[in-house]
Amino acid sequence: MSVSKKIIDEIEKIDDKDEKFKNLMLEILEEESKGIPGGRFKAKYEEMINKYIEENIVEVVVND
Amino acid sequence: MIRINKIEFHNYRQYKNVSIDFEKKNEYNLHILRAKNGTGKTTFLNGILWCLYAKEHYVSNSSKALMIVNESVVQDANEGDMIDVWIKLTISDNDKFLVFERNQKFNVIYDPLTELKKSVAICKPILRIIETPIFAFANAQVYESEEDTLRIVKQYFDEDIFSYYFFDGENLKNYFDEKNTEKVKNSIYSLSQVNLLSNSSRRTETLSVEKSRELVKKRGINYTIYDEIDRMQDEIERLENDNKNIDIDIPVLQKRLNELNAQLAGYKPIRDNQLRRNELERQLKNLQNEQSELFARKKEFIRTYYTLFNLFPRIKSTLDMIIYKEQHGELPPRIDKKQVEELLNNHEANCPMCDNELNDHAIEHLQKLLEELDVSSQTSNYLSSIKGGLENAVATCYKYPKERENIIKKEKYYSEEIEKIEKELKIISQYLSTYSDNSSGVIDVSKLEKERLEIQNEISIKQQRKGANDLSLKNDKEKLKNLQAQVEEMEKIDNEKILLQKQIRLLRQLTTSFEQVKKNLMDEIKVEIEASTWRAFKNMIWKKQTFHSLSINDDYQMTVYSNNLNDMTGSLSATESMALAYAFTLAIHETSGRNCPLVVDSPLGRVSDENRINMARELLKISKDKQIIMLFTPDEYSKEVAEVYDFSVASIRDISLTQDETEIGKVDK
Repeated sequence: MSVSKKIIDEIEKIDDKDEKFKNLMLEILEEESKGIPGGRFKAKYEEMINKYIEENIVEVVVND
Repeated sequence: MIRINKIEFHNYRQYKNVSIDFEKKNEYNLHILRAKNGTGKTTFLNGILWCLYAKEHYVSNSSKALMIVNESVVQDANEGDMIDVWIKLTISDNDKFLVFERNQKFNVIYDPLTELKKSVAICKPILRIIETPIFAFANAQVYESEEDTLRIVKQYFDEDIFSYYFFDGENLKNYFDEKNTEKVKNSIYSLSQVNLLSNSSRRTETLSVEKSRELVKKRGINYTIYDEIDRMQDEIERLENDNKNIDIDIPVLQKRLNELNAQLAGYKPIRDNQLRRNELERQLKNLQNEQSELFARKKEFIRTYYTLFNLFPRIKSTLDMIIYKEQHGELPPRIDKKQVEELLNNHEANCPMCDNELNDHAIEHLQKLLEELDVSSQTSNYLSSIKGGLENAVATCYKYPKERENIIKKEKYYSEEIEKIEKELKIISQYLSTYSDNSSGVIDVSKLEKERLEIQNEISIKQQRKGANDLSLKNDKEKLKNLQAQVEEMEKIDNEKILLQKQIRLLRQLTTSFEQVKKNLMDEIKVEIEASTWRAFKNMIWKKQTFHSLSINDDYQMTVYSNNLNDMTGSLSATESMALAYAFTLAIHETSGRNCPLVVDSPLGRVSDENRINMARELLKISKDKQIIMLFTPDEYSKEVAEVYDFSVASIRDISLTQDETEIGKVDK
């Protein structure tokens, strides 16, 4: 199963996010559609978001 | 379009050996099965349900007690014979065939009460699905695991909304009740992958909460440490420079001292005194060194015992508590965490206690348990490990009076000895400073001796200063090293904090975006179903001016509005209710993205007169794009209906029983 066109279209419509962020959303959904076992999701998600952080500027939340 | 191509029954109730093809012969996908009441119309529908779900949802209560095995087959069999019951449903989906094949085995036994043979199931009904590409029969894939077969059945005919694929026109009273519409909503969300978005959103949120907790635990960087390092570096530089100057000064002074000593050594009385003085100075130096060592020991002694005596009450009570707990077996047992760790490392393994899959909740529970086990076993190990140290500390406290006496004695000895030597040195110095002898000629001995004393003092002061500088340098360098290590650690933590903050921000943005997409998708699906239901409903009813619109709320409950915008859902006629049910069903099929077949028992059930023809015509139109299999009684298949559904548009078959009424005799075209 892969991510439906409807979802892809809806992601495309988000106007305050860039292409790379949208690709990350799709990547997560693709992995979810293949099925990530409960115990592995943290490692898998971290791998995806850390890769994104390495390649893109993510502002630090001040006073968080 | 998904089509049912064929259905085959073997020993299933009155369908002893029946095979029905549903081939497409014209532009319509309409198939009609006509059967008298009690002949097997509903059994046909139940047969499909049993094949897909191992349940006969439309069976009446009295039939529930009956076994599904054909009765004549049981009676013709011998006691102990095994009977196979199976149904094969073949569907085509674009480029592949799927055969759903459900099988169950029964044993024949003799019932002494009824004096008849009866069948007893010897296993659960088992489903296997064979998937074959239409153009390459050799590459068939067989699915036999429950996980696979359930997944495939859900993809095509989700059991939660089975009544929207296998429609009973006579049984519409629960069609729009809350329980059913809730299932419709969930099934639509599952088919439209809304659940995928919910899952991703939930998981990014869980992770961001965990990361926030992790962030709170991290210490912030202490910026005053950088000032401390600067100060320390300046001090080290100052001390090193001072030592460099001392290293230059001392050889110069030493040279002058040697010159003076050489000059004074020419006079016997002076030489004797000088020799004596040298010896005394050597002794004095040794004693002073030993006294310094004693001072250092005294300082350490005071520091150690000050700390020990302050902590003594707590040390003693902790030691007593450990001894008491050891003696009473109250220390927690050492726990082997291996099994919990193995479970966490192998997430695909099932729980050894309940054999269920380890879901997110279970994994979280195991991680907490492991932390608790860690704490418990660490407590036990820790208490045992500190016991020896505590015993040593108590023993040291008891040695205090003897050690103190020892130090005082030595202190007194060094003071007395040093005082004695200094007294003698003073006498020699006085003698030499006031020495007056004409035989010395031009040399002023007292002046030389005075200079000599000054230089000696200066050398001594500089040497002491260098010693103190070396000690301070050693301490300061050690301190600086520690501060730099602290900075390194703090900077490492600071980098981790920055990464955590970035992760949290990103995860929060992802959660918000997934939720936004989910909401938009759900709204869009609802609007689509609403529009699609309204379109089909309008086409099916003959009163074109009565209804204004239709709406679906968040629970998928439907409301139909009259032209003056009054809610008239409760006032719909039987025909209108049926049209609404058809319209909703077709909308669900459309929105699900899978154009599945519709199998309808009593398709025009309660629809009367003019509306029957309207609805029949509308269903015929729909059958151009969707396969519809209709089950009629001869009465329902009235003359007017037959005019719409004749042999030119529909494949029509009659189902009838054999003369002994034990099985379907034939399925005629």
